[in-house]
Amino acid sequence: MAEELRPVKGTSLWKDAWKRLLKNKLAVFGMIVVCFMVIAVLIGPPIVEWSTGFAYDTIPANGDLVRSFPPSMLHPMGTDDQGRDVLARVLLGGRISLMVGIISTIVSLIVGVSYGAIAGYLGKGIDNVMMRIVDMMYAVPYILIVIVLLSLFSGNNAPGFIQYLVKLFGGGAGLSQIFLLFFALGLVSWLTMSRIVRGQIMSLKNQEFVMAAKATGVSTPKIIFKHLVPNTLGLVIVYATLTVPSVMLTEAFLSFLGLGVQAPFASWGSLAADGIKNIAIYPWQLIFPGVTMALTLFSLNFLGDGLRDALDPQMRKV
Amino acid sequence: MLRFILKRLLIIIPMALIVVSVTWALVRFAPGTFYSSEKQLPAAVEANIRKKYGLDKPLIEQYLMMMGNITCRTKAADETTTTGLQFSIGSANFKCFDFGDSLKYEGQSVNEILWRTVPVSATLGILAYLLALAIGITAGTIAALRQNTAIDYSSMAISMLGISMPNFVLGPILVLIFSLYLYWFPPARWDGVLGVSNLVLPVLTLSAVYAAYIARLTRAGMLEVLRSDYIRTARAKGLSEWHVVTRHALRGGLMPVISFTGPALAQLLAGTVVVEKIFALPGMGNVFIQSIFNRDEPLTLGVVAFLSIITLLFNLLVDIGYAFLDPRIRYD
Amino acid sequence: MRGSIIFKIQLAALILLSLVLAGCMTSAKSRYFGKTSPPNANVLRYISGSEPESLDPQIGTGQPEARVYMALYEGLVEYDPKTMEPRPELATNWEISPDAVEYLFHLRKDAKWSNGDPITANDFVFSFRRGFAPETASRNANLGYYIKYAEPYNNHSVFMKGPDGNFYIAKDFAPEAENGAAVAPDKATPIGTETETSKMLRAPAKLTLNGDTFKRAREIQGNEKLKGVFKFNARDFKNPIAFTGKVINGKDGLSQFLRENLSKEALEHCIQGASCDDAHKQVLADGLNKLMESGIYDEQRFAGVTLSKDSQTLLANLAKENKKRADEAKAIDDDIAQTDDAAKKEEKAKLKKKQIANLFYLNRFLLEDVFKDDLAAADLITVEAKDIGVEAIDDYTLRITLTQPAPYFMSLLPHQFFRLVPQKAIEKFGKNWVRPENIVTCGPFKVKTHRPYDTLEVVRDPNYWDAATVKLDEIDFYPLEENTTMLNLYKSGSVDALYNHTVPASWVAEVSRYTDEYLKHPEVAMEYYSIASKKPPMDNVYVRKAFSRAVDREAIAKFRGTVTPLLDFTPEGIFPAYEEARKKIYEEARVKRGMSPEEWTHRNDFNPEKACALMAEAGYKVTKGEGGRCTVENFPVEKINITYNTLESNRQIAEMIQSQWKQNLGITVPLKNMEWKTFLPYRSGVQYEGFTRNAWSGDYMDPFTFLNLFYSEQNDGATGWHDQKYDDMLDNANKTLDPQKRFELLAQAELYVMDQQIVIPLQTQSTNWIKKPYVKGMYPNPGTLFPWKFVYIERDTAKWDQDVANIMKAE
Repeated sequence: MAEELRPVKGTSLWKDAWKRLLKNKLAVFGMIVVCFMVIAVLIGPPIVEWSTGFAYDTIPANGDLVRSFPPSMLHPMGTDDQGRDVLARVLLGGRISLMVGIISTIVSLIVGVSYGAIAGYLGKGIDNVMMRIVDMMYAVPYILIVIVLLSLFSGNNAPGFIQYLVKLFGGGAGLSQIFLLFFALGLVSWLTMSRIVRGQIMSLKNQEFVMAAKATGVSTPKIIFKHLVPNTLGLVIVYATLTVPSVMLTEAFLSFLGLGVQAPFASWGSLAADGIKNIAIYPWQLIFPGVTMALTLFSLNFLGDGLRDALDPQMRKV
Repeated sequence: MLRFILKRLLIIIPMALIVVSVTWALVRFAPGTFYSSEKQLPAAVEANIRKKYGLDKPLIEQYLMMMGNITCRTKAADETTTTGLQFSIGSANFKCFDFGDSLKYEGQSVNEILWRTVPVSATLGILAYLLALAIGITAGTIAALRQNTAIDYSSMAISMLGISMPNFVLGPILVLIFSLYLYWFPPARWDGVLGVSNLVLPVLTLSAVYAAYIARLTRAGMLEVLRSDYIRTARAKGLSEWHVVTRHALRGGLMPVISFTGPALAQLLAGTVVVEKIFALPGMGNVFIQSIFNRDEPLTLGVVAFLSIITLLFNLLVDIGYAFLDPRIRYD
Repeated sequence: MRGSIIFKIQLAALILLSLVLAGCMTSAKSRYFGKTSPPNANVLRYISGSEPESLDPQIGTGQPEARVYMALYEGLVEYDPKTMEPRPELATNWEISPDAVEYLFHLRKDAKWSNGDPITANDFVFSFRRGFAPETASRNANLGYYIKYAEPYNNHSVFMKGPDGNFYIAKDFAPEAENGAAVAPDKATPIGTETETSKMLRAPAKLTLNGDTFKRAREIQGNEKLKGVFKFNARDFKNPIAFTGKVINGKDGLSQFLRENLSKEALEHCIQGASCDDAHKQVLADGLNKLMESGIYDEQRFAGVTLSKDSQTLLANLAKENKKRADEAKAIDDDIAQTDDAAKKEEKAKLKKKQIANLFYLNRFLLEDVFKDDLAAADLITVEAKDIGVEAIDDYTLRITLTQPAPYFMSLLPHQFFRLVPQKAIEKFGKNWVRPENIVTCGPFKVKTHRPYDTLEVVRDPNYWDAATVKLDEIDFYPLEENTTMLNLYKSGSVDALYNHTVPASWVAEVSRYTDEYLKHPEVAMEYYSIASKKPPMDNVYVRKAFSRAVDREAIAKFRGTVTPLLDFTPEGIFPAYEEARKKIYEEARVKRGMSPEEWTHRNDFNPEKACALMAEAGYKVTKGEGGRCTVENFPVEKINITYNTLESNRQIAEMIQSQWKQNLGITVPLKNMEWKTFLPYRSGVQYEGFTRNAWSGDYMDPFTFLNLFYSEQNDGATGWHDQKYDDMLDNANKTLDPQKRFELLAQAELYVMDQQIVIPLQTQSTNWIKKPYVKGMYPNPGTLFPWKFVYIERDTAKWDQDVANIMKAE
């Protein structure tokens, strides 16, 4: 019976949520900013190149221009140490940072949620083994994993799927390192998510609606993914929006250590890491990428809070 | 419950050993060696080095020797090493937990390096977390009590700033303002646990993001509790607002913070790398990163063993905490 | 509404932050960079770079270590504070034999260790021997390989005695071509007193063979003369009865094999003992020799034979090597199956030649083992510490003998590897002698405390022979690598000086305004890009030249602010005498090639038009663009990279070069950065494709330290290029004792290698560091190495350094 009613209820759930989301001004604001950023990083770089002649990697041929200039009409965000346009670099950096964030978040959603849900629902020995594996993965130093990945699989040694991605994005040896980085970050980003989902599922699995489903002979995968997982969605979304900043900061940390994206590409994190060194003399090198990144993260957070409230009115807290 | 805790405690040992083994394999997989440098070494010199450090033996033998050293093994009669735990049962001499000597820094044992660096990181981490608790709980509570006012908004805005600002950006900015402009605090270096003025900036930098998280968690928790019946009852009894908040509301409102504390503290003890680098502090995080970049295998393994046990212990604490906080979860 | 309020507040916070930062930025420009007042105590606080690897001068390899060692240890000579030329230290004066092979040092008699013990010539003998000992595993040991028998001692080689009890001599076995490459000191008398050791050292160099049996077997295999030495003789049959007995009665495969193949008659004679004369023994010996040549070892044949552990190791090595060879051969077979390439076939043929299953000496070694007491073993004697060419004639006279003339040997001697280490402490404490509680030093300072990653404090040593000159009471070395952090410390007045290359490129313009503090001077170091010149498309010299001429070095120099463009390989402005000689050679070459002086000066410099022309000459389709630039249409750019190790300055240079090539040639070469330790084997093994970042700072003050980068097959130039002609040119130069003539020969070699354009030289480095004006006696010498005893803190503001650009000329 519950099965029959679900589709109807499902659509109204999403519709309701959408309505509630639109009522939340902060979330709408966040959504607009995030959309704007996504569009800007997608179409921005060619526009900047067309209007100013500066691509993200254009270093002026004239040696006198190879230094950092403050913001001007030509360079609204100034130039970096090598005379490159900061705006063009911030836009390109956004592409990579957002991609890092999104890919890792998708990985953490797919892998983390299903892993945690399976462990939590099956419980006992299986849960124990699965969770101990997660615990151990926490403890292995991921910098070492990144070094090994980058050294073993960079360039032409990259695994097939990465080479495919590189081709998809128009080639270039620098790209394979970036995709490897995505992969490495995705590898660790799902751990926290799986722990949280597991905890949530464990507290849900003894409730009546699960008992009922079990009694009517619904298969285990169906119980997990149709009945239990949707009930954890609120929490999952909040942590997903927290995953984006944390992954972007992890990427920034790797950039800080020199293991980040391949030059001349940049990410917001690497731009900030470079900019902070010159904060006392060329502050625009930090302020523009920093503010852009902070603004995007604020907005994502508002959007995330809004989505959670919209999807789960009971959990409305903030 | 007790059985569950005991079981989990026991399983930590094999888990840490697995983590160490995986790390060992990763170090061996990574190209380059601790002795590779700008200048290529003649084959003979390289052979001398490999022999000196036992790298000419079969891999499996090297692995077993490493595992023997970091757990326990009998001590040979001619061994003079004094590191690790040494004891004898009857006539047999044993030696445990000896991580060997650092390869990069000749003459320093890993145990000694850990012994020296852990207190630095721990001081930093614990102080930063205490500060984060003080700031976060205060800000969160006030924000909750004054919901939807300017105070609420500004404290939440600042907390978002804390969450989205990398600490390698915050640190230098603090240094710029407080060390180079105002000359209040030294810009870097360690001056012992009691060298307070050297501790201020790193602790501030480190605590920012945690303070921000705690403020948000406290505010959310408090809002929920403040609407609950027992607070209403307390207020109805005529208790002062101060009393209601500190004695009753905070207890319930801090639950989310407590569950956050486990992983956060584990992370803090390990993850102070950036701050240690920026402020030139001789802590474990920096040593750890350097050891990886130097391919200093014994040092890497020593730190990983230590960190994995810490991480696993804190994870266990979280699980126990879950069980206490949420009676719906049962551990069979 | 909530959203906009929060947003406004955040915006306000950001603006406020920016304002504060702007405020900090525009703080009043003062004469000095940050807080400038001398420390209260007589202490120098110096940032020394990475944490020293060890306090043992024979272990630590880098410059950060070198600077620490200069405070703690002394050698025969010390670097001059300004020129870095060797100046007397523990040796008061020295004599050099006319052929520059023997060096006699007279030591000062008042020198003491920090524990008060006198320093004698025997301490030097101990230190040198320890440095070369294989057990020490010093990474710098090869710097001293010029010292006689140091290399064979360091790599476990063996001498060999002939049947007459005399050692075999190396030159008797040298292949014709190499004959005379090494000159032995063959004069009647040494400088200084004649001793047994000096006789031994002046005698022609003894033959040395590899210490590892398997490697020795391969070494002997390639040299017919050597094989001769290892043939059996009649007199090698120590116990012919036992030998023949085993051969005739043995049940194992080996005995059977020998039984079948050796002369029956001789065997039968010899088993009876009395009738076994030399002629019969010789027959047996010849039989064995023939078998050794054709192959005795066979797995089945040796199945039942008991072998010693050495032989088993040897056979294991053989099996490993054979497997490797088989795999290689198979890989090539597979390759050939796919392509019908003549060159590949040739390669395969070569491989077959390398077939090693049967090694002459291996058979001999196994026979020696199986018939241990019956056959005489070759008389191999491991090279020992006492054999090396370092000798104490008396307590205060030391003689060093080299294998060949090395004109730059004296400038090598101040290096950390040649500094004194304390014998007693090392013998007592083993590897723990470097702990602060055990350490004994001999320099102007001694260790007070050592907190790794934090501080190394050294204090003035009252036992130091020249303690009166030492001005500082204490030096604090801070190990620190984060540039921003050290600049902050410097600005806040917490440190007094930084190590070299610590001012980031973006800061140079700002910091160089403080002319009393910023030190920029030519350095004995240069930066270049190596080219994988054996791999297509870079195996074409026109392509290499095109890439080199499309690099605008002036623009890079302008950006870096601290470097000067470089078109040759040896750094500019460091070796004036060499540059004079080079000018002469270049002029000769110019005339010979019929170029105008104008053409000659501009033959290698930045010129996009010429670069495009070169590309066209190399056979690529070139489309002309504006300003002499062009687009190379069909260049296989996917086959090349610019590989560099992660470091901001490397990245910036790589980005600039990438951009210049893109603009001038229309080729976008991808960048590839690598973490240092990953990068090292990748570069030195020439695994990279295209270009890789490379740099060199001289080990000693002689152009040879740079030209040496392409010498011999395994070199640090990392280009895969090796040319025997170049090696010979350098050898010839180094054999020349007249310095001017030698420089000319070296210059010819430099011209030769630069014509190949296997590297793209980029720039001569400059020192790039700051010190407070009150720190005196620290000079930006070519290696930024400071004899600390001359450094002091000047409290009188009037005497502070002013305009340090002149610091090297003044006083």
